[in-house]
Amino acid sequence: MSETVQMGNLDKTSLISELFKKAITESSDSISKLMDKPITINATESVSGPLLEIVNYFEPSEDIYTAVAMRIQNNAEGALVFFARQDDAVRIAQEVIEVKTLKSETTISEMTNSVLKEMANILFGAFLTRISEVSEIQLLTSIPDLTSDMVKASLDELCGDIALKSENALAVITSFSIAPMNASGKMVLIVDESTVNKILDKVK
Amino acid sequence: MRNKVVRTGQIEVAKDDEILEALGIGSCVIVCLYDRSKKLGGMAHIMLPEKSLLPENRRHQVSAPAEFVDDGINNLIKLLQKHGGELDSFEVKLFGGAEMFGNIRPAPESLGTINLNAVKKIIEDLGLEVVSEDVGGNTGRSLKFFLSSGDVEVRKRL
Repeated sequence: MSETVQMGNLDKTSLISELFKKAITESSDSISKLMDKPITINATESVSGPLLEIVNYFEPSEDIYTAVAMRIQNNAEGALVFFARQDDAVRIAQEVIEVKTLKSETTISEMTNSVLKEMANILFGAFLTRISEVSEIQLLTSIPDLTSDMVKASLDELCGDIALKSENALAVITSFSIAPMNASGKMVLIVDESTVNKILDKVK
Repeated sequence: MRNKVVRTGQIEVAKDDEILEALGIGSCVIVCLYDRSKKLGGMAHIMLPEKSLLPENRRHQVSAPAEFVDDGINNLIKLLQKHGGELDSFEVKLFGGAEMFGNIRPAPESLGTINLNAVKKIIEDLGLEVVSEDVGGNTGRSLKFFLSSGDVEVRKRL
């Protein structure tokens, strides 16, 4: 019988946060190689509890960030999101395709949109493959989608969707920077309580 | 003049020269009720549709005052009535219910659309009239509700 994880249990939260941190560090190498620039993982925070508290953990701000998101579905529930300030997201995409424009994009162009989604596919794909290997759980995702808006507005829908399936979740928030470009961002992984239980059952 | 920020799942009531504010609204729905004669109003920042959509074993979970549409509207009305507001006098304004990631769960199944439909049904059942709304679409919103006039300022990205 699987043990129920009390989401406030620090040992278990720490264990799975460490696992996710290791996987995200490894998967960021794939993007680093693609850009030929080092990506530094600066800090990892984790928060667990009701989805409502996870939404409210993010300070409400009107700053605009580009978010690329994928939902984890079927035999697990969760979401993966990559956030960067819109200017940074555009510069990261331009670096990948080696195209530089002097004009800044006030809205994300089709080209930038496609590049960022493909990057998310590579980054999240590598991350989920790593987690699947360790946990022996196949994690299936939706296709990536992109929006440029306030962080809280972008997270509402993803957290709400998960909240319809599960009351509690774990969020792991990783800050990264690409020093040569002076760009930075965050990767957010949210998984529901039963997914945490399933993974812990396999890695304990 | 005093500003109160209403966070997800919360309800606030204010009056006269106070301002109620909500930032970064995506698929959540904001319900503003206003009793013009008393310059009294309230805001519910609702995250999810009716509790009845949850699996049976979760319907009695302890939730925040406006986590669900049904609780959110009922709790807001009760709180306003406690402060002297009268149901028949309430003007209703609705905001939010956006579809931020259309490819992940497009309308009519998007959470924003489900939330909005649930809110509108309850408002209609209560016999209240929606005097203005800025809902749906695919952009986030920030709001300021001025209790002195009942006006609501909506800010969105271009």
